[in-house]
Amino acid sequence: MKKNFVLLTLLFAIFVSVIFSGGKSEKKASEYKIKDTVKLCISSEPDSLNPWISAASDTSAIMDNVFEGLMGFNEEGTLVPRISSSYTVSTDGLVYTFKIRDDVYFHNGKHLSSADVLYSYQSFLKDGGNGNYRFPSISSIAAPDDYTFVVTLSSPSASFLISTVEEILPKGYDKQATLPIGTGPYKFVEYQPSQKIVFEANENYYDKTRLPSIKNVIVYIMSDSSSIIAALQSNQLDAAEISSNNADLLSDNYNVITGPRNLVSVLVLNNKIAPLDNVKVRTAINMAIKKEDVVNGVFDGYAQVINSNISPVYKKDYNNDLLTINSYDLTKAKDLLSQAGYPNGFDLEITIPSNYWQHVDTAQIIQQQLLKIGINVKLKNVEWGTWLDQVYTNRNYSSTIIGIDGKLDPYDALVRYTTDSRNNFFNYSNSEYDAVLNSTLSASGQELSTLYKKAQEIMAKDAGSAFICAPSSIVATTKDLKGYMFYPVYFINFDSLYYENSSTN
Amino acid sequence: MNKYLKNRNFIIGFIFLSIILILAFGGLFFKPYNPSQIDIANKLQGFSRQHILGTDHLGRDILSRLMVGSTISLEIGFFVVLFGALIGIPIGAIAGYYGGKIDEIIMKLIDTLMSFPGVLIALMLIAVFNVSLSIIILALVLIALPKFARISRSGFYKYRESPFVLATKARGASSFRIMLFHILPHLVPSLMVTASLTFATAIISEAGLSYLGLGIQPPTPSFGKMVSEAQSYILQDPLYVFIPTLAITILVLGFNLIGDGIQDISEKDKNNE
Amino acid sequence: MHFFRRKLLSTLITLFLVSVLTFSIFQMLPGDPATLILGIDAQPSQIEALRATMDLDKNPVVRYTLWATKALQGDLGVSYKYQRPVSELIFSSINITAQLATLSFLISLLIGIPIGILLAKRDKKRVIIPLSMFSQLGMAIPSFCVAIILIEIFSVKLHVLPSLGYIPIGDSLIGNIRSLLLPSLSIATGGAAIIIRFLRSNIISEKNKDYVRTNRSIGLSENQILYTHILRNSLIPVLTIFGILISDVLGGSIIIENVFSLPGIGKLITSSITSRDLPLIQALVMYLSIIVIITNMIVDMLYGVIDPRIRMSGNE
Repeated sequence: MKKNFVLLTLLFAIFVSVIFSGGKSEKKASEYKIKDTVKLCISSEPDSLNPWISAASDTSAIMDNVFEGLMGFNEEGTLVPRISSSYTVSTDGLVYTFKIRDDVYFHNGKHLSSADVLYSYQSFLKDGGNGNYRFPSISSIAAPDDYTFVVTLSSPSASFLISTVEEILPKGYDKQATLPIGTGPYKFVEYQPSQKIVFEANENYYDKTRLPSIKNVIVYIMSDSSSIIAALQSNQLDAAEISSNNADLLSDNYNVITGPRNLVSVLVLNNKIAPLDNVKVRTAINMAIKKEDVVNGVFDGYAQVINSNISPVYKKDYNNDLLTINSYDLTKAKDLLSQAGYPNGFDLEITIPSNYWQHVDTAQIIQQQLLKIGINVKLKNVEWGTWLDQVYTNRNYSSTIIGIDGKLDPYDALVRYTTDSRNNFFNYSNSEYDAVLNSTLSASGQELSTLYKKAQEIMAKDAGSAFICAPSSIVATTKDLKGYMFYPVYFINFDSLYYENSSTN
Repeated sequence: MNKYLKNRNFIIGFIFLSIILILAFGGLFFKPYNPSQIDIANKLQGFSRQHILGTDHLGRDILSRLMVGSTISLEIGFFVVLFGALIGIPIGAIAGYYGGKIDEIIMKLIDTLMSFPGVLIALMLIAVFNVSLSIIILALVLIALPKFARISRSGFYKYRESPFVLATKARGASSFRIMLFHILPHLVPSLMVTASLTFATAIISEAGLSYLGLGIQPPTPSFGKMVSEAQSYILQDPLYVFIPTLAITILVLGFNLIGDGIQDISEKDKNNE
Repeated sequence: MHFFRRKLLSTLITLFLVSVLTFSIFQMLPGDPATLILGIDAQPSQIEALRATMDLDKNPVVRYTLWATKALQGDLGVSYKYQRPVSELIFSSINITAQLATLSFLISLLIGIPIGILLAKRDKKRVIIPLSMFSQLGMAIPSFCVAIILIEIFSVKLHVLPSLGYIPIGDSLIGNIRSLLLPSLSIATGGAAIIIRFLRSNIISEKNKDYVRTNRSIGLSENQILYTHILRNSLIPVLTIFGILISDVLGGSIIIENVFSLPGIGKLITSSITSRDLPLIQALVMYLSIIVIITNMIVDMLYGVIDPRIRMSGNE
């Protein structure tokens, strides 16, 4: 008995000493490190370290600190020079001549020349392109000298320039998938699967105005939202994207910043499945959904109600006048259902990917709302892989709730809804919409924006699906970390980050 | 019956279980609110006269959801123990009693099943068949089954050459009779422990699956689903997490204590023989 | 020698069964690994290229045979998702999970055995009630709830233990234990509670056996009887659950590694299933089966050491 007691006390003593022994030394270590290291997190594993293979937005959000294209984009989404210092366009809009900087070096010390650019563009154009951007109608590419690169288009295109953000990689380097190198302000150091990706500042970066202030960046891979909060609160993370319900709570001790995000939360209606093939039924569903309830209930107000198939992040192309179309009206909704031949409503199955709790919650709210016009919603929770297979690839579903990402170019977000787009899992088909989108290819400036807005209007009037809201991005950072910026596509810019008063603590 | 009422473990366990049973059966006749009724304006409200246990993150009444959740959780635990025992015990009995080749083959299969971690079985089943109550029960039965089989096998193995079994055999009793009437009763206490453990594990595993996003279909609540929905609100509204966690704890404790009680009593009986 | 050959053969049969089972389940799983990896915005050419590197264009029987022949030569293939050799991935994560499992197992034994004995003695009521409450509660609260509570106390409030990140033994032994302490504790509470219950109930039922009465009548003290005779016999059934505990620890680690962002086997299992990473899941399942088989073999051998009667009957 006594022996047991002594043993237990001893164990307890060891336990306590292990807990606290390391505590002090760790504090010292973090004091020492605090000025030059930032610890961040992303929610999913990188799909590939090779930017030409990678297609996941989580991956490019961090890896694009390592790579650069001829052009880059700023937080407004406007193009800025990167590897090319300037470009000229011929008067017929067909020939683009890029001036390549002569002071650019890859992270392995190799000097960048137009040969690397030519090699990269040859790869993009091979087999219809393996890059993430569309390269419309390029008839030829050439590198007349070491610092000049010429692209000739077969017809003028407004969106060609956007595609020049595609990453340039060194010619003759075959380890991009394991030890990627680029020309960006940060160098890739290591990737430990399921754990972290480590970056280091590139001190030889050519653009001295963008020289990194933080030396080391560690990006942890964490998917559990409460683990992220705990890690922030225990100083193990310096900045992290957080879920809306924790925003108010953290705002006392952290800088909580919000920004727009290129994401649209949609109740997708399969336009080829009865009764959703009837525009009256789709309109009735739109009219029965009170989008504010989703915004408040799921996103705690951190979202904007929309009625467009693109996010308001495209400031000049987003159509702001659509909210009055098919707005909340239960009486009209019921009328429309009767006219469509469903006076008593019908049964509707909503397939939801179970790993996104936001969509699951949205579905439960919509389920209650649709009940009021007699539509009896059955929820079907599926795992993400199954969702991709049944809903996205095989289009074998009636409706689903999903967040749809946009790219840098609004065209990429809008083109999904054209009749023969392979991404058109909505099964939406309207020849007028197709025609408008087709005419955007040769348009530019104000005319282009008008066409984009027209396309959104057609979609809203057709009630192609129920476009609910555009959730914001919410980031909490420690009080002294500054310079976190939001971009029209998901990107965490490391080189703008810095510590204010780095002498404190 | 009197002896049960004198056992403290049994009584406390019974009281705990009764709390959940009252919730479950009470809920069949009366619920303060529709458990799926969403009321965004009143979300995450603490205790109040309107909502005795408060509301959840979508403004649904927690007490009403707890009532439905207790039926679901009891259902899961009950069927998992029932099927796990009905299949597992005979398998283990045959293996342990006959020994030799049969034992080897059966245990090989059981080991194969056991070498998949439980969550892995559940993950695979759910990915193939989609989430539903019966698939969750099936997955949990597959997890529980080897445990019943192993415990029952080691018991039957232990007793198969004991004097009283040999004596009964000599009298010409059939193997089936011996297993059912002469060995099985001796194993009741340890099988009871296994059953109560399995009930506990079933409830807890379901919670774990919900945590991984693979639990019961929304909007139907189960205790595990409620905990996993609540856990990201732990900072704002700790009560919201606390209530379903408490419900799980009470339910599992109740079953464990009853199991303990039955064991105590069966030992006393043995001593009095 | 004959014994080992038989064991080896039966192990190979189990492994074959397990691999065919896993492979067939994966054939039924909806979802294309290439689309899962690249996401919904990938170009068709990107997806096709990736599918070809995975041999997904071949028929299932051919693919299984290809996999099996390579696996027999020790080549487990390359993970779809991580684009690295599967053996390398498993080696680095098994390391973490093994440390996690060992630590939680030790903790469960250290808590479980003394408390189990203490409870079985039934003498000191004042100690017994809180301890039995502990053992009951330990089993009744899901491990991730324990984890959330531990993180709130030790990481968020006290700032003494980390809730994320893993420190290799090579870097610092104490740092390593500290980084694994909270996850191990979360897993161990359940394991300890199971040990306590089994040990307690076994000791109590052994106490009433004839041999104990005989020993008592020849004047041995209760403690002598307990530690020399009863404990030995009571530990056998605990060994039976040793295998169960191991698979509990492995299963528990799936959830707990997600909570603490530990890059162990559990995390690898969830990600390999959600990304339909067949080479990875095949190898993982093989690996886990081998662990379970070895554990069961050790259990069988230990039976013999603790209870010679079994060894004798096993020799017939």
